[in-house]
Amino acid sequence: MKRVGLLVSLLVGLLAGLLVVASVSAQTPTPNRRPNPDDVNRVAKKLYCPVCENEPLNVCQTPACVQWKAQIAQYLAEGKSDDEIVQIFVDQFGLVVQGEPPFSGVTVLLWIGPIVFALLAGFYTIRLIRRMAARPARGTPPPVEKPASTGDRYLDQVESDLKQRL
Amino acid sequence: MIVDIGLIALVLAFASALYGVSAAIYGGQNHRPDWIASARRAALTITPLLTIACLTIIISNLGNNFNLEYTYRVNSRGMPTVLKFTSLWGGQNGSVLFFGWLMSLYIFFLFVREWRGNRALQPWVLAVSLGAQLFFLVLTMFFANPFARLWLDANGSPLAAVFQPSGTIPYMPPDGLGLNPLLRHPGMIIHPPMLYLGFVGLTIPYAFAMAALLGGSTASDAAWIKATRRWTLIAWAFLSMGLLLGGRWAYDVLGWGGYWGWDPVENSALLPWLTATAFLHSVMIQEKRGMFKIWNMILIVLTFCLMILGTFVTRTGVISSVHSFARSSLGVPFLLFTALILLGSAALVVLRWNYLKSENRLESPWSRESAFVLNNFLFLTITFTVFLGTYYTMFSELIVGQKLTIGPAVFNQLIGPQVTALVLLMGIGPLLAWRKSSPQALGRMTQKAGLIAVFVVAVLFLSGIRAFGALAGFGVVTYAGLITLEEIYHGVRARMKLSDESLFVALSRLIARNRRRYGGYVIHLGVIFMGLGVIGTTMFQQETEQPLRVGESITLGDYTITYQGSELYVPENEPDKTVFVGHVLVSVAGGPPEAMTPYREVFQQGGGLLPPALRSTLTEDLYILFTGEESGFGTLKVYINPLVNWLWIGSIVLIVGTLLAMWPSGAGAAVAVRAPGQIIVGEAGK
Repeated sequence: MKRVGLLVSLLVGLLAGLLVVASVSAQTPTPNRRPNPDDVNRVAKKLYCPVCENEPLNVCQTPACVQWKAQIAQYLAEGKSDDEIVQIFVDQFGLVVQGEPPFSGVTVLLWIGPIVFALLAGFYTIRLIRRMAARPARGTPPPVEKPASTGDRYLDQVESDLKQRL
Repeated sequence: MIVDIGLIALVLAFASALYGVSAAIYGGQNHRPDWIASARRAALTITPLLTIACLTIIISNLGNNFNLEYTYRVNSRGMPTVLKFTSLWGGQNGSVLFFGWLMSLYIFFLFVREWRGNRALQPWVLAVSLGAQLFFLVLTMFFANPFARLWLDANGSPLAAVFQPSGTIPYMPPDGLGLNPLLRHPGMIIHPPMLYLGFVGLTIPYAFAMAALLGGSTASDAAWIKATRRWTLIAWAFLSMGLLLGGRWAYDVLGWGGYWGWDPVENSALLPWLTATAFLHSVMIQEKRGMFKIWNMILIVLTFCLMILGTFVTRTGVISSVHSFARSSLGVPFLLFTALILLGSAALVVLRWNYLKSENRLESPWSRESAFVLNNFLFLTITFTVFLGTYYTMFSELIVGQKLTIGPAVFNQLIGPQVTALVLLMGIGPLLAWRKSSPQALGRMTQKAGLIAVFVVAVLFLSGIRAFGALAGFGVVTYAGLITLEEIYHGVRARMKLSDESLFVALSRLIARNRRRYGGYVIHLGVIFMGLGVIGTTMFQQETEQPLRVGESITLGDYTITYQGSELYVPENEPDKTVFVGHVLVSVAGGPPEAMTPYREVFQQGGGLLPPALRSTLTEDLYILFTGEESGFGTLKVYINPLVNWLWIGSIVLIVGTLLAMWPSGAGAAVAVRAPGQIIVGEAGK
């Protein structure tokens, strides 16, 4: 009976020990794999703290941002990808925390606006140049601009040099 | 009391401006020179009066007169004297007064000498510039008065008012809040005045442009465009310096390894710079060929509006949150003023459309004129992109209630290709002759530079650089840089052949003889150098951050940085600040260690500075930050910024080039022609 009692208590002890170890390791998943600050910064760079305007998280030193960085470290340790972590913060605080807002209904004009503007302005510019150049100047051709008579031998030389190269 | 003198001076300045505007308009409309002369004298009184107003604020600051609300907000007893002096522009209300004072200086220098320009322009230049001055004086008097004093009401709670509210007693707090710690750096003392000088300076070209529309006749055409160009160049020089100093300040104290963060405040200063640069180029078409008058007018109006908008944004913080607009007392008047300028100027341009018609036509797509048109196209798309990126969050918050952050990643992607194209054009544009040139000629002139650029790109590719942006960037910068150098060289060679001058003499005389052209080339070279720095830092920056025990090292590139411990102290003259100094040893490629000491300043009021320890060479900067020590670990953050020094070298070259281009022509260097009713024109060889 003694032996059985010893065996049972050993088993119980072992079980309890395992449970404790398991629960501890669940709380602090992998104490040895503390994420590198560089990895944290890589993610933090893509985020902006909504408290300190226009300061990316990786350079912000306020307590809130330090806490966010700790959170990022934890997510990294849990094996989340960069994009997943960014998404967690966006879900929680809104699009304002993301430094490069994705292409979406809200940002569509931001991304295609400059392209549309460039196309329109470019079209107009090219049309202007071509149309104006194609049409010969009316009336008598404008007098050829004389090289500014500077009375300066050297400048005339420079001008004629430049002419030759053209 | 001394502050009362300041307030009276401010009120008198306001009255002068109001009278000046009215007298100028009356004199201009009824052709009454006596009224115009009177308006001019009124304009000249504003600077002395505002100088008195500013001085009384400075005296109040120096004397720790915390009864003055402004002194209370930006000063404290412990602050060094120099900061008490510069805190004149360290807070909102003082800086609005300071802004107005700088504007009055421009107006003063414009009108202090006898008017040599076109007579018809004078009353309208007076009216418009004094109108802008009046606006800032209205702001100072009614919306951001630095002469408000502190009073205690019956319940003993303090309030600020210019005149004593009934039932209150004057209140003198024992000490002030002190200047915002970020503004205590020498860079921040010089940077705002430079930027402001650039901003307010844009008032003068705007005044000339509007004057040409209001009272203009075709005879005044040459006069207004020359004056406008000159004053724009002066404002542009200050604006450039302000922007560059701001960048250097950020690099030196903010501790994020960079110099430009595409922050709304930075962008709003860049926007008028972009349109002013576009104008400085396209104005040459108008001067030479009488073309693009409407366009130049639009650029001037746009520049002035963007300047007002930029001031508005920095003063109200409207971008960071639309709601700060309502909180700021300046929001509504600024919005009204911007709307007035936009609508008023647009109406004038439309009314005077015929007067602004071109005298000539483009003759060939391969001409200098076309190059300038393309230049303007690129500057405008860049302006539009920066504008959109800066103000997008304001629109999205207003329209769909969604705040956004538009970070550098967005700007770099959108702006990068446009700037690359602009640099390419900057290289080849000056080679194209006025009126007509040919692609063949262009090809002949650029083939050497092109071959070398291709060779450089090939070498970079073989050395392992694969990023397309970097290869394209370096290629274009090499190409444009070589062409610019070749242009200068051709001029020098011509001189050397002709007059047996040494290289240096030939170069300096070449530049002296035609400062506008060669000043421009020097500015272009500055941009080329800056381009190297921008490509290096945006594409090749390296960084690492590690917590280290004493004696441990981190390695980045060729550098090994060993942490040696830290100390902290409180400086005697700034008791509200704690300095944490980190000691490190840096060894380059296994060489002998050098001691370096990055530090961090923390302020009682919160916030602080993070100045780096720098090891600077022409190839790269080692940029070490010490963010503090905690439980035995000192945290070091290390950046390698390749080629960043070329950015600063380029900045200096750019400023030198600007000075060359705008220095008043001395005797012998220019052929000064004084035509009746015209300002002096005709620098040699223009």
